[in-house]
Amino acid sequence: MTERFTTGAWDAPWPFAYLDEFMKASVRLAVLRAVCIPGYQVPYVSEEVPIARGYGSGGLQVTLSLIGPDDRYKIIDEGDDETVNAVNLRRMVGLVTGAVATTDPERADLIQTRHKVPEVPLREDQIVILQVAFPDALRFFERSEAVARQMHAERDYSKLWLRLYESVIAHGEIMIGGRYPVMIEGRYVLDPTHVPRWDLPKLDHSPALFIFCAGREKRIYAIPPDTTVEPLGFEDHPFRVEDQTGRSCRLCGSTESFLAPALGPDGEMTWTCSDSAWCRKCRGETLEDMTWQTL
Amino acid sequence: MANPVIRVENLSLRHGARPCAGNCPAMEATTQSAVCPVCGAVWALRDVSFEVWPGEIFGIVGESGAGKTSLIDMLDFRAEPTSGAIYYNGWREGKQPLHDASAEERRALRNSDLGIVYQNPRRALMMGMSAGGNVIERMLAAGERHIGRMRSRAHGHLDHMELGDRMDVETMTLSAGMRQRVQIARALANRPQVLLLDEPTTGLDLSVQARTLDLIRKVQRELGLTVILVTHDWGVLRLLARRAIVLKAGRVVESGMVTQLMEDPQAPYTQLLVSSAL
Repeated sequence: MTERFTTGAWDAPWPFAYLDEFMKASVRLAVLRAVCIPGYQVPYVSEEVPIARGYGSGGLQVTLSLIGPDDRYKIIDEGDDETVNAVNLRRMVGLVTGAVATTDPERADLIQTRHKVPEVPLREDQIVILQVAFPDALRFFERSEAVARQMHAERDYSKLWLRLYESVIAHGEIMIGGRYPVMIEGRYVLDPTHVPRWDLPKLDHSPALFIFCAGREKRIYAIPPDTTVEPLGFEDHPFRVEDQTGRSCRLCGSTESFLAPALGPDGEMTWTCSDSAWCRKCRGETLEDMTWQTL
Repeated sequence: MANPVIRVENLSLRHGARPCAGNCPAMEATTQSAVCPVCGAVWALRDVSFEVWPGEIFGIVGESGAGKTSLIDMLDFRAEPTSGAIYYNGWREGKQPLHDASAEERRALRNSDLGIVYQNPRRALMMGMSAGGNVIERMLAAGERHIGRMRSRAHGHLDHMELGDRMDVETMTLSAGMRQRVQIARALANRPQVLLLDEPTTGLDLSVQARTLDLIRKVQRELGLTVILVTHDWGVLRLLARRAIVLKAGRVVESGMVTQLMEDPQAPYTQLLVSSAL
């Protein structure tokens, strides 16, 4: 198999990027539709890929449909390049496309991620692909897909604010950790997956394109570049990011990135950067590229 | 002279897709059944007309299957009339049928002008949310976004229902009578013009029933609400309503003052209903 790859011409036993051309075209069409109606969930045909549903099959399909042989890609999971899910997805994408993987978000053309948006500012030539488990923010309250669609059509979003209200009553402020509902251009409310609240201001008027894909639920939605993304909130309890005062990264000392709790060497509670590339960069390490042979 | 708040004209609702020509003319011969003897279509309501005046409690009585809930469903936009129309003086000055309203207008009307209390509180309330949250949800739907203001208003409504101290309690933990009162507070959240009560006290024990009815009457007087009360219980009707219609098999068999209906029922069906209740 290795020999076949190195011949230069495409000679692997699968089509380029694993998915057949028809499948890739149908995913791209759904992505275009999603970009045209920011925040609207576009149904698409979710094909089988060689990973289980729920392990990023949706994100993988979008990545494989959009990637070209000359693109650099980066795959992270909870901000980390080295978790099992990220490593295996990276290996697979490298194997079926021959493209170069990178850990540096600034050099990446495509960034597939789960539960985290890279800390560095993104550019307009970059695409961020988020793996989604539950695409609909209304799923908390409405089990019927048909009714939820009607609610989206009528902008019937009061129950989402109710979820925030109940959080305020229970905790004194909005303490929702993930799936914080955001309103796109004042029209659709979108579920930004389990990214921390910390990342939501980064979505607002971002120059990059954000694509969300739920493989199991067969939905694609998008936040196009330079789009208003407004996290829901109240006049007297506005949206706020996580309070990190007094915390800094144990490894690099950063206070400007989202910090995740981790047990220290003596079993004490410490904090480290959730974005491993950011942390390594702060420590002066070089972020390497990987070809499929070295993955 | 004031105009009626709600005017219902020749309202009909047919289920079943096999109507005969001319809207089931054979139905005119049968008054006992809601089913057309020729085509088998079910007429949940047939040519129902009445008017509801500002500030009154209007009763709709009948045994189960008489078409009471179909009527409420149409007032609440959950069903479309087959023929006839409802006019509401808060929409297009009562000159255009209510069901001409677009989906958005219907939602706005339901939020601002209409309050509804179902027999089963699970239909209206989210059991996992707090009692106050259920009331506040209607205010959120109307566009209010200030927690402090909403809480003080919701507290007022719950206090009316003697539940002011249960505001932040999960609805699931409340008793059936309390849930019903939370439902009433929720219906009143946006100060509606019309309150629809669909069997509001059925299934509650007698003392709770009496207390709930007292509260409904008190609130109705204080806010000057127009109420449409659907019930099968003559006791509830006598306590609250002044005027009523009696439905049977989707048709109005008698209408008039409640005292008159009870003391001197004219239609045989009303006589049967009254004698079986007392």
